[in-house]
Amino acid sequence: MSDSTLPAAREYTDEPTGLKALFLGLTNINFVKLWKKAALVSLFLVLISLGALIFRGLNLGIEFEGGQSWQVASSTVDADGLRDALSPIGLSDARIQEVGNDVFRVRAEVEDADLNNIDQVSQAIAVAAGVSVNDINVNSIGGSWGDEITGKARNALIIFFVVLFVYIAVRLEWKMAVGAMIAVVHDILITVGIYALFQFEVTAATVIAFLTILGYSLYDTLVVFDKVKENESRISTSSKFTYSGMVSYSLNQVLMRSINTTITSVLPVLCVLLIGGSILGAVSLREFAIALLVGLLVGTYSSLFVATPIVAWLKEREEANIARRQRIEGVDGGVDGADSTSAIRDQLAAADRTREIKAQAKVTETAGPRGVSQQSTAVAERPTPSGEIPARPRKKKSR
Amino acid sequence: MKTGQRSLIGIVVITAGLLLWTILAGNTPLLGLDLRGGVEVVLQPADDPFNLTQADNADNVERAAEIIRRRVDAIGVAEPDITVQEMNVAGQDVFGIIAQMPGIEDQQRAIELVGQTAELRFRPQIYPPIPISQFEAARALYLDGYGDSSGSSGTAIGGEGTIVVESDGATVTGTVDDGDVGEGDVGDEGVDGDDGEDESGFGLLTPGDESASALQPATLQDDAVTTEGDPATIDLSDFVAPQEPAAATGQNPNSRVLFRVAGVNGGPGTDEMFGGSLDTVLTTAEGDLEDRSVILTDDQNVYLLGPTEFTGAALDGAEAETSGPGGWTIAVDFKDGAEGIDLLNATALSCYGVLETCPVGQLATVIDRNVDSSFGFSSPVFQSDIVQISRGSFGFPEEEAKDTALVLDFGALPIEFQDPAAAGLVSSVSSTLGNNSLNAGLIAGAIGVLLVALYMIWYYRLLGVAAILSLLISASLLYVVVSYLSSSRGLALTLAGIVGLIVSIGVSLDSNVVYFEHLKEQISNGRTLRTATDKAFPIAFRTVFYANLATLIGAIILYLVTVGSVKGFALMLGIASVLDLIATYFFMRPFVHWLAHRENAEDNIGSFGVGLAGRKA
Repeated sequence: MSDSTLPAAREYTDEPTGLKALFLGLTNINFVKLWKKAALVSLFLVLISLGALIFRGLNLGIEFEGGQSWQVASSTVDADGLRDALSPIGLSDARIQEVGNDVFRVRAEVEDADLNNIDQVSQAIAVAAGVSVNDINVNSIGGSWGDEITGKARNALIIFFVVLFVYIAVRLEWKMAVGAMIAVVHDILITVGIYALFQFEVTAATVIAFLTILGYSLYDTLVVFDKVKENESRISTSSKFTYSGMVSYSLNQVLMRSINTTITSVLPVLCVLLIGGSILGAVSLREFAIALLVGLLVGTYSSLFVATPIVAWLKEREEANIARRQRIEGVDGGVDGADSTSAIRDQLAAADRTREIKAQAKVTETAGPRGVSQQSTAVAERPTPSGEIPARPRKKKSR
Repeated sequence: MKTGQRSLIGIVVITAGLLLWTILAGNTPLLGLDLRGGVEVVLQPADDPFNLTQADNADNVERAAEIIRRRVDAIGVAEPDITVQEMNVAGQDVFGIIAQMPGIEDQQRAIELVGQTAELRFRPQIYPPIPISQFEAARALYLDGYGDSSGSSGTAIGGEGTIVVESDGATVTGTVDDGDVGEGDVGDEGVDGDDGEDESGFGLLTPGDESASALQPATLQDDAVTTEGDPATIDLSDFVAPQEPAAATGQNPNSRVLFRVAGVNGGPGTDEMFGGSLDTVLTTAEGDLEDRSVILTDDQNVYLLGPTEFTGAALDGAEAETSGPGGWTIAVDFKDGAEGIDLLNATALSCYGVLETCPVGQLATVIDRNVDSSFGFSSPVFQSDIVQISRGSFGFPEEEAKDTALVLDFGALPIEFQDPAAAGLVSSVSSTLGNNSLNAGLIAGAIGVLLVALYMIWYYRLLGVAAILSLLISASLLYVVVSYLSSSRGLALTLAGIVGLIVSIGVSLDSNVVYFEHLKEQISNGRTLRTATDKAFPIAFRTVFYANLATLIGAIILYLVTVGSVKGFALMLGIASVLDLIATYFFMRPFVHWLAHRENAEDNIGSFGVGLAGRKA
């Protein structure tokens, strides 16, 4: 690196606003305030989900509950023909297979499996296949999922939660583990609740969708927590900011990342739902995609509005943080919540610079120090916040 | 910088190479039952269940279905569909099982897996196993020699040793030089015992093996008196060929082939003895009694086995375990006391001491007259109920360990079914979903991924392009892994699995987004592009690494504990998170580094989509 290529110091001409602020991660959203509203929304969704699960239950598919099997030999019909014949009587998701040559087996779960309903299906198959109803073999079938799969999956989930709790507790801290686990349960509950509420059929694929959500939710929460943890270690105890304020600031920083990741994750699912499920008519895809879509959205939401507030709430009960809050609230000009993210940002940048200058001082030969000094100037000259989000009235407590 | 370039070139070359290998090896993803169909095996209860009540029948069939599910699961992650169905057999309504498996390439294996109902027996080897090729060669030599009493005429077998053909006192000897294979059509496998692939028996002491050479072969006597309760004495009516038409071949029915293989390094050789063609030599179903010696095969070797020491009833279970890199062992859990571990210890004593009842020191497991595996003993007494079976210092190949553990674990189904192949109950089945579902899923997924790509490029400009390239790398690697697992482990992609993969593509972009957002933060803090890229990556990668590690831990737990489609999902989840990290570290890092260090990169910072707002130059 030669001296002549050194770029001029960059400066902010004014405090960015709106989308530009969002783009730069310089938004001033007060998450502490939003958390309270979000808590109500989450509570509402969870209660509805629980209610639906308790009062309506899940509509378990043929893999779990079994159903009926119709077998017919016919050389005049194919699987698509049978599917067309069964769609009008509500069995568009029947599993139709050709077994060997010209033998067709239809497996479906008939609602209120009484003889009339089963007969109705037999009639439809007979007409489509061009055979007599008596030539159709109707038998009951058991579930293919098997109790063992369920049992082992349940055990696995218990181990999953325990191990990952320990993992997060070791990697970050146990309060964050609590927050992450509650957020994951929240997400799964709401996703499953939608299935109960709308009585979508729960198939083997649905279970996989639930697990996908589980993984995604946890991952997303950890990415957000990592940012919080990073800032936590950068804010000294003499800081002007409460823990909640710091968390809120962190969330502003990761907001754009959350939005972008949600967009890139949701776009394919949305396409599967709208194009695959509706336009191209793959019914089996539709409900699966709905589960994924809801889960992905809730998964991102819960990282910002369920997991982090729980952590903030737990952390605010620590003595150091109580002391900090009391000191800040007693001092004029203290910052609570996220009244001034730019103030925090400046403080953090200054802390980083100090650290860097110390580090650079040891290695004076490198090109670093010059760049650093220019950066210092740049930040120092940055104007004070424009206050696009009005400072909210001071409160005694924000918890 | 140099390391960066190397890593960049390395990952691209490796990915391209793996893709090429996948195409050349013909590995393609296997589509699941719902998309491609597969093979179906119907298991109808054999006569016995008709004596049972309907409830007993249903319970036993349900248990059998669980066992079959485990068997199929244990060989891979093929997502079978195993359903208990009411069926009408011989005018009676009973419960049976319909087992469907994706893919149609290996019908035979499907039948074996689901149809196996036999009892598991443990029998000591009386002689080391004889490769069938050697048996046939010796027999040909014998027939040849019998007709030509002047001596051997030329059929040699591979390997080193001497074949002694004995018939009523007339002895024909042929010597085989090391490596000098006479006819070429008889391979030299087996004699050296070095080709583990060919031997389904394991912990196997082959004739060329040192320890086998040290054994004193038991003496076989034509006129030996069979004594009740004396298992060391072999009833030779098992050996001769009772159905062999003596007149047709001109043989004396009591004639037999004596087969001597020289020991290694001048050690003592071993003798084996057979007569007649293989089919007539093997013990029949009627002759397969627990307290009798038998001659059995595993389709590669011929075994002479002593009376049953104990059966699968002595076992509580068995599990394959990894014992280190590439090596697997089998942990067998015996029952307590006289019904379990005591039986093993009695056998261990004679096999470890190479006593009369176990002259080779090897115990064979036998299912349905098929020898499944053999093992020796490292100790005469086992204190713990859990016994490890291993081979050498490297253990078993994974598949072999798992297959064997499976057989030990579920030696028998609780109910007997008709042989599906014989009853004509095996057929191919078509997919359960229409073709339109697969096409709809793929088209919609492709459009979705395209939109994601456009969004990334619109938002992150050059970095967006980098993200798409990185995605291409991880998607290619994913294709390689999925194709490989499809070919080797029967991994089958269901529609849900494919959609899941599409989702994982969207999610894996997150590691890029995290990186770019950190980059943006560094630049808005006033850093130059170059220092920002170097500063941001370690922070971003740490975040992504630990988050992916959590996903990976979760996936491993799910994979280890669960069965069925959940296991398949866990595998894909784990692979996707590892590949994400690989692509991020080995491609994204050096690529963005390179982008930022180009000549005029700093002037065109806007093209990076990370620092263009709120700045003046």
